[in-house]
Amino acid sequence: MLEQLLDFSNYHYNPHAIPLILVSVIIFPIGLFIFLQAKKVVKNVAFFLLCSSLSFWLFTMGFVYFSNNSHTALLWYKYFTFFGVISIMPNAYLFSAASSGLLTKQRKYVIGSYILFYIFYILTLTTDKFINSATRYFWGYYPSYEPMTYIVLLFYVMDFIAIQGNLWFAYRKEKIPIKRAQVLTIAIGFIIGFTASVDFVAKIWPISIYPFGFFPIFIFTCLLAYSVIRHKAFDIETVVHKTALWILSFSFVIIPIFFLYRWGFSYLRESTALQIGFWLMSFLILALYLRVIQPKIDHFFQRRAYNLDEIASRFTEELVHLRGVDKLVQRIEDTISDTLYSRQVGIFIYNQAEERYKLAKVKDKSGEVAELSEKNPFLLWLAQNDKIVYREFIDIDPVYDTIREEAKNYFDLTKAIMAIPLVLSERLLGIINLGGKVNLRRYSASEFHFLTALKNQSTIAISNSLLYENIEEQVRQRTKELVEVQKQLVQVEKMATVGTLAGGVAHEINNPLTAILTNVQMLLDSNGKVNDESNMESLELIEEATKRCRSIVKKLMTYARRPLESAEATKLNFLDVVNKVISFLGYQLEQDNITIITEAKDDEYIVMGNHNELEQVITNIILNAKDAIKRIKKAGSIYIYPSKSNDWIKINIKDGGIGMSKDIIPRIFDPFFTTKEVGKGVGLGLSICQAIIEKHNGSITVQSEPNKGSIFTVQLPNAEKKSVVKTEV
Amino acid sequence: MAKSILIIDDEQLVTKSLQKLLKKEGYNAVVATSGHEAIEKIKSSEFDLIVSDVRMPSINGIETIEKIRQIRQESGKGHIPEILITGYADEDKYKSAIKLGVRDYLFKPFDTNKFLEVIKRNLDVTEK
Repeated sequence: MLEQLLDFSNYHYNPHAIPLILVSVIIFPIGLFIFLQAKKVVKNVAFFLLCSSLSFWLFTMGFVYFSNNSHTALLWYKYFTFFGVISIMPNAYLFSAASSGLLTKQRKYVIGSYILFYIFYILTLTTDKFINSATRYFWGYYPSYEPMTYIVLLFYVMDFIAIQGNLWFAYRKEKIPIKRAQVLTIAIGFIIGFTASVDFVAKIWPISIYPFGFFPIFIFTCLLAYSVIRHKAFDIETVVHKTALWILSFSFVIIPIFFLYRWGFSYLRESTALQIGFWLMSFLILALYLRVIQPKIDHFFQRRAYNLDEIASRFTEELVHLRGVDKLVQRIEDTISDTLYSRQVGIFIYNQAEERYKLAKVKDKSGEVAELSEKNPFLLWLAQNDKIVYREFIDIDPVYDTIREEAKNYFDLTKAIMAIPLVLSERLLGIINLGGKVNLRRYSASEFHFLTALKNQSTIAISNSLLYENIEEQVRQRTKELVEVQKQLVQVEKMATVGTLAGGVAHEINNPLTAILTNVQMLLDSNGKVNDESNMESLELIEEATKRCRSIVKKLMTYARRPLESAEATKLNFLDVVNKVISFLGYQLEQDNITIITEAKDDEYIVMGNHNELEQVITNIILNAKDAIKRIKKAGSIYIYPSKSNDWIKINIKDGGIGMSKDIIPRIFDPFFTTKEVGKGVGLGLSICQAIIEKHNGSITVQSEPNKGSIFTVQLPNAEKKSVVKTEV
Repeated sequence: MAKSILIIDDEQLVTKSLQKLLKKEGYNAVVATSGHEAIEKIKSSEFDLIVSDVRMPSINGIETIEKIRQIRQESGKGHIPEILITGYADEDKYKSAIKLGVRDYLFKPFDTNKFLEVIKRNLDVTEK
């Protein structure tokens, strides 16, 4: 087989093969270039594989055309071309998965498609069910497909649908306009590329459609390369222009000349003079091409890649919608790398708290320092001069006479070659450091112009963002302080309650103390005289009294305790809170001839709350109720009854006291509003209660009638609310 | 004959202890746990001295004393000396006690010796 393939007598010149060879020769270096830019990125690797498949297919197809007998053509096709054709399928799928970010999800399918490709290839080689003969058309030999090839076609279509599905998914998911455009480009590329398979399809039924597949494939490759480059911020000028376009346009000139010489005008070889003339002509054409056509193409592509003004105005537009320094810095970095292809972009932002410049965003970490001192002499100079500094100019421009060494040190430190200060009224907010360009070119004048516009816009935007973040931070700080103050206020109010109750507590505790003292002194006076019964009785009284003291102190301590910071809100039974307050106030109220009547069903009233704060609310309302009663009568009752619904837990506190007129009710929750005499309260009680309850997402309401009494209702969300909609666990 | 003393306090720990102390000292001590009970007891029995708590539910010590005096006066009986004992120095109550002419005002917890001394002094006054 090898002998047959290497035997030149099996080939003849066929111009139809030229475009195929050309495209194949162009595609491969494009893929290789993309691969070399990022050897470890799956997308780039997949693209290279895809280009290799396409290139291999077209190149070997060229040799099928060159063949002058069906047997040679069939050998080429079966062993090489078909390999290229069917390997497109898994490689294209891998590429679509990788560029849609679905690779990990679709790993199985990708592997499956490679296995399938392998099976097809083996079957093609070992059986006659796929390709068995080659037919001659006017453009050269082309294989005749056997019916089994339908299966390959079916998988081809499925593969295409899966690829489009992936890209459609990526397109919908992607929010950034540039990346959406990228995905769209790839999708369109695949659609165009797929039309190439039409020539393959046509040959299943032997219809002689000219195999134009090379052409859509060429466009397809260019679109994909463009898209990959755009995303990865490679210089489109470098990739498309310097490699692909150069090879393409140059080969347009060189290859025809070569073929003309080799096969075209055989009589040329017979005359030396004619040969010299031919080559001279060729040289002239080449010179003309390099001088005229190449710069035109250059210009065309440059304009497309570098519409800097448009990018600058788009950047300005985008800034308006960005909040926060982080996003801003990201946008600046993206814009610079996408537009200028800087190898390194480091953005430093001044950190007020740490008094230094901190690296906020970096494209390439290698060589970048993480922070810069605010006392760096070069940065101080930048703040004064507000100037973009290009390292190359430091040695030659007299402007830098005073700062030359410091500037050099700065660039050595940061490994950058350009420093763009962001200065607002002599204050350096930040610095953008740029490294060299990926395409090794220098930054041009128009790029300086672009960077100046970008610098001014960025300065204002960053200044605004810093101010905004500063204000946000201050608001956070103040809110924190307020919360703390409120917490203290609750405690102060509570201690005040303890103070007002001190009389009651003293009375309560002095009784058992009297019992203790009296009995102890009696025991001491007994002077060792043993009177078992009497002594025993004294000791029992002392024990009981001491226990009483202990329980009173305990009660007081629980009530006046500092709230635990960690136990802000817990699930608790609201009725427990009420009962605790009643037990604390019980003695005092009894002494004041106030009876508390609770009507609680044996039920739980679970709310989310802070025990300490809720205690304060209930205490306040009960003490108010007591005062209201005492103002019109000597004795009375306070009724406390809870109620609950699916949504709410309510505690109602009803008194038969003095009540309030309609004009007072709306004011009772105002701070410092009080109807009590001077010295009996500052009027913060109910306003604090309301603040506490509102914080618990509840409310306090009051119904009242003068001289008949009031009902205060504290309402909190039911923590055991049963949702109507069943939620999944 | 042993002197009879009426102890009025809503707190049983106090009444029990004081009763025990006074009995030990040879007095006849009777306990009332509220103002109303005291008034009833005054009506049916004779006492040489009243020891009353100030702060009590329903009617307090001062009101109880006023009521007792009124009853005594209405039935033409003589005045019984009163001692007030309190767990908390309430200025208002103290003033009204002074106004009422209560001889002694003791703060709980008090020294037994002091208490007995005050008792003794008051009983002596009655004798004269």
